Amino acid sequence: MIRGLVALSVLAIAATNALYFHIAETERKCFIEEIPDETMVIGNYKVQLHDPNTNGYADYPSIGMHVEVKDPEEKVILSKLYLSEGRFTFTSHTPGEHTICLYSNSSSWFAGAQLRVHLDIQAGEHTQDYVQIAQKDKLNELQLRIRQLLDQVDQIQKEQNYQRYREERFRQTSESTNQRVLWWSIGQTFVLVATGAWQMRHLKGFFEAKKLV
Amino acid sequence: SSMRLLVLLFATLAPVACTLHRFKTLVEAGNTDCFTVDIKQTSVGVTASYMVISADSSHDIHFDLRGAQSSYQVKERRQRGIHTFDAAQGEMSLCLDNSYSYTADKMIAVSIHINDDIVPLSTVADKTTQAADRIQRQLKLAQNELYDRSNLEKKHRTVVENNFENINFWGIVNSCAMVTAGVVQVVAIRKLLK
Repeated sequence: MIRGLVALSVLAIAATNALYFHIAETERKCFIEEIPDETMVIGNYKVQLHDPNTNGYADYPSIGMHVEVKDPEEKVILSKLYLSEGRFTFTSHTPGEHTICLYSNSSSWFAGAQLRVHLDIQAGEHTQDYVQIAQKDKLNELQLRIRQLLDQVDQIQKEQNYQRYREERFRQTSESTNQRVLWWSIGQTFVLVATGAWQMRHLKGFFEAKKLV
Repeated sequence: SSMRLLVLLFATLAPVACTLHRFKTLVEAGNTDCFTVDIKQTSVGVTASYMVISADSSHDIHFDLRGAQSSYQVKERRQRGIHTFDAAQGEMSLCLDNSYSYTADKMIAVSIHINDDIVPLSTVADKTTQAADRIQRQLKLAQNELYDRSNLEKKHRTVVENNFENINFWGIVNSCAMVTAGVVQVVAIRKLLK
């Protein structure tokens, strides 16, 4: 069952229209996922190495991929070394921007070779294991379908709540900015008047001392 | 039975699906980031969109989209854009070029939506399943809409947060400039009359 599921996810990379990009060996590529809390994120990836003989990209099982995930407070919540092909998973505990960074673990073995990384990141209800749920709760096809739709609606609701929270923050920042503008205007007017007053007083004393007035 | 469930899993998650690649990436100053999708179908509808969500609202990015077999080509330099076209089979590449910038790192939100129905709807005869398919399609549209809106909100919020910091900086600079000018004037007058 597990093997079937992993095979399916790998098939997902190979059969569907997966996205890929190139990185140098020591280069770090980061992606940002803005997700609400308690959301699971699954990333399927495959790494290939540039073969100068064929001028194409071929599988190289000994390359490892280092995956580092940081939460919105810059705390590292996942830092693991994986094989050249596989999947990584993490669940968010705080809402916000999570940074997913990928870099290979090979260092100057292949003298600055280019790596091709196929990547597919899924978040939310796409990550549920419906096979397991169907077996555990003994659901038939229609019930499983309805369950999946319910999960999708739940996810939308979660995202909308998160959106409300962010717009609240946006409004607070806006209002704080307005406050700041007001205080700085008053403050600078005060500084200007005070500087002028000091100038007048100082120069009056200076001219009187010089017997010019 | 487990094999059947596996097929069902594939069919459940993939119908009305479409492949969707959505991500945000930071393109550093002087760099070019390229992403490629190998289209497996002979001809498929693709919608590619991008938006710059940096703190500076004047930032734009050089966007270079190339469909396979020269089916579609776009080269533009804008803050946001959306392109819908039919892509031919082969490699479709999308490049975000920030090489013309010396110091500005740009955060770009990219979305590539490919209309490849893995399980075509015509094979499903059951009315209930068809209804479920329609509902799922609508929900997916709603999610996409939410995502686009959240990107726009992020862009505006970054600008306002940047302003918040800038006000302190310029306030201090202005105050120092005023005091310095005042002191320099007094010193100059004193020197003149010495």
